[in-house]
Amino acid sequence: MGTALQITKRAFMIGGVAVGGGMVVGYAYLRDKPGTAGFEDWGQKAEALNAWVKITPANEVVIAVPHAEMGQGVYTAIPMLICEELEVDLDSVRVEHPDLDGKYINEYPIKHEVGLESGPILWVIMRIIAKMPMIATGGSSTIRGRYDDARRIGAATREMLIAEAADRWGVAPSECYARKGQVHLRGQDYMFTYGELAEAAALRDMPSDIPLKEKKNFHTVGTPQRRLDIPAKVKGEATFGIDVVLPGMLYAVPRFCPHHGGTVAAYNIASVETMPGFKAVVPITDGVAVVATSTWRAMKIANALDITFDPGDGAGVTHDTVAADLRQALTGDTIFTAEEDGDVAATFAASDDVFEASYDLPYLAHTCMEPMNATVRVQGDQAEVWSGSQSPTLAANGVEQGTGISTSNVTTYNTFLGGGFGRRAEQDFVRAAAEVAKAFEGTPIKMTWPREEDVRRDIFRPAAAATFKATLDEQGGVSALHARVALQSVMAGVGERFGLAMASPETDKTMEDGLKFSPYHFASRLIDKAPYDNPILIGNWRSVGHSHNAFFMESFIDELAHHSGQDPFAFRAKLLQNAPRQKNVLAHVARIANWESPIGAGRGRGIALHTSFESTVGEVAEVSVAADGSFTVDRVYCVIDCGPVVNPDTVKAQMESGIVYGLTAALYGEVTFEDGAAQQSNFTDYEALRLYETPEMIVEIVESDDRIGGVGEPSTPPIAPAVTNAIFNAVGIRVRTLPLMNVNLRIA
Amino acid sequence: MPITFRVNGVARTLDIEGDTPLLWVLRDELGLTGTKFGCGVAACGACTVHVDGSAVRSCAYPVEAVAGAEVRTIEGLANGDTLHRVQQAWIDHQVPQCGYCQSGMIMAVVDLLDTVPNPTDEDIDFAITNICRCGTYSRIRKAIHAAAKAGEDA
Ligand code: FES
Ligand code: FES
Repeated sequence: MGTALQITKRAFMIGGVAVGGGMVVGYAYLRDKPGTAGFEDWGQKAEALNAWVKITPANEVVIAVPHAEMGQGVYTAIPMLICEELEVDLDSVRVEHPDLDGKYINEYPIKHEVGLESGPILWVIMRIIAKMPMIATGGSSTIRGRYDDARRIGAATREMLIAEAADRWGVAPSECYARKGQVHLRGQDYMFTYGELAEAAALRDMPSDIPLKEKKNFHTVGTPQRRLDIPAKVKGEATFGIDVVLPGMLYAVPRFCPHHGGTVAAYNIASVETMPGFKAVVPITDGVAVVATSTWRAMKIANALDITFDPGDGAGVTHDTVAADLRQALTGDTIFTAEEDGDVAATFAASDDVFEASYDLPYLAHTCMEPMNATVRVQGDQAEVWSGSQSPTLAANGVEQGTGISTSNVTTYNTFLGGGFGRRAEQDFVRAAAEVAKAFEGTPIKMTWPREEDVRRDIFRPAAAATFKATLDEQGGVSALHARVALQSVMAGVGERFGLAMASPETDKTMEDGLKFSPYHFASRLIDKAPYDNPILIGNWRSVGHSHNAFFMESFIDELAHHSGQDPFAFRAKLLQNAPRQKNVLAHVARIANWESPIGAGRGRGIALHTSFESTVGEVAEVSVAADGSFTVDRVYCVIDCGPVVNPDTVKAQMESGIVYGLTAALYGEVTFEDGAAQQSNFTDYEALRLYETPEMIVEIVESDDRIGGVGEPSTPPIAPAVTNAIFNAVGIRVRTLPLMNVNLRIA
Repeated sequence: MPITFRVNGVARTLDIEGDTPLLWVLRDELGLTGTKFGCGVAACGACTVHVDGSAVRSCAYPVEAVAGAEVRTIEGLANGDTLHRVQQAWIDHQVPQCGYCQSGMIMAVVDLLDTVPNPTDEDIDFAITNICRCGTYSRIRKAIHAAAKAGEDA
């Protein structure tokens, strides 16, 4: 792969008259050229936003949010930003998913809009977008991030409405002001509703460079707002992908080869074709699909189907072989350097106290609450897909892969997502439904995966192993650190599935995410990585590389503190000498957790800090360990600095969510394999944290004016090391491998 | 063999295989998609509905077992425009994230409060074993206490 190209994306703010009157305002995009930059470059510049404001003659303000709402609150955050500048109350707007076929604006030719995701997922989307033809009209500006863009859309719309009112009154726009969906004339009782102005305002030039409000004048952004999607969700009215119902549809259930890398050897429909509701068995990628007249009938038939599999390349791949191969990779000949500063080798050679530790982490499943599913209808050279996808772009790609129908002939309808966590940034669940729909032209096919298929055929968080080495200076600082990780390349796997040559283990930045650019001061450092591969499908899992690397780094830092007789908090604070933002978060969480206070016998406190997706999160966990080795996580203190805050309540909810997700993995998360086949299949053997095990969580937000960071993922990475560091504090047992359910904490 | 039962107060008669789980009858035959599929093996609670006033996991409840019974789903919980106090507490405490587990969660909690009007934390731990992968548990606990209080005040 060549050197990184600077890729720019130009955004065009565009406006026009809506079908049926009123006005619409939004963004269209033009990509200059597909490049080869890593996603880290994208993360900075390609925050995609396409929120649309529509104002009807009846003064209804509709905001179309094309981003995937999977619980993270984007359905509310984008409208909040727009409302702030548009001067309408959040509770007076209606939110909808846009119809991407141009209901909002005729000249808008992009069929598949960009879903909003951070890091690697965004990168994949961008790569696919880059392959698709796009034309856009309008003025040009550069995207700086949705935080600004959404407010700009609101401000531009407001100014067009004000200009229209000013002309009607024959006054200067500066004589007018906007408030709660109306334009007023200063010192007078005159007023127009936005609806009265909208259609004419839509024909005006769109202003650019409108100064945005200062933070101190915000009325909506930065204060807790009730989420707009919640009422439907407590009434059972929110439509998820699995809830899509179309006239005349048939139901499909997949039966995949359980062996990753394997194939279907043979199957015999004679045993099932007389079962109630049977329609067909259709071969699909890596398996077959049973088509029947209801989901349950299809499930029953799929279970009864006489089918055999060939483990293929999965033969012989087990938990133990993976662990051994990862260890071997760490000491192998193929090593790629991710970051190097100073002469680590020389520093180690000159030291008589080089401290070392090794860590191992398992494969993890996503288990989104809503199992994978999609509904597809094929009609000639056209196709439609209904799915809860982290990006409609990816869904369209899935249809293309499953049917051969070009993405430009695919219409996507996005639904609510019953969890995403990176799993719904894949297209396999759409492809599988599309393959069946192709065989049933004209008939909508809804495919629902049984939970067992969802787990066995997950695209897992890879297992990972690491070795760390360090030596300290006289003052207790770190004079050299060497961290080496071995794992499968997530981005190479993703690239293969999307048919894009995207990354090799050498260029895949997710492998070292969270190790490279560590905010800690190491006088010399070397971060490198060992590639490893096998047929097990791996992909993005909430926080991706950070999910394993934070455990490695924050465990090792804790070990170094104890090794050198320093307090784990004070040691970290010392290493953060050049990172004030991180140091502030660390100090804040230590303070609210009463770090210095005694905690009692059998109890312990552990601290961890991690920066990911441009946010920094510090966590302190409190645990109790009983004499028999059983333990509970009693309380977690969490502090985040994510720059400017849009909806503080959502930020807190996301912190709680990420902690529970990470704690589930720390306690129970482990997928093991036999001949490449996952040995876990449902919540019975792949447990999830439940209410009774959930710790009390105290979350605080540190406001800062820095760049806005993500909130959906950053609380997950620190929780596992915070807990294992607390266990060490309680009973002196150092946990270097997860999940904890396999670890004996009984004191000998 | 036709099976007759009532769903949210409406009598329904269906000619369907008796071993079909109630979940799939509600979702695929009656179009009541508010009740969710999560595991199919009674392990997650996403499919929780009430049969004659008690919470059951409908993915493991054959439809023949509800013959003559009264089934209540999330769609039948509110009284017209007036939400059930548990639904209201869920809004007040901003519980749902993705929302997928919440129909089952709410139905389980309504049953808990019908049985134990003022549950302790231990009662809640014991009774509410539904899974929420978004991790909304601590808000669920607060919302249950709030709904219990609203019930007392009513
Ligand atoms: S779907 Fe019924 S308990 Fe999980
Ligand atoms: S709110 Fe998403 S699973 Fe509970």
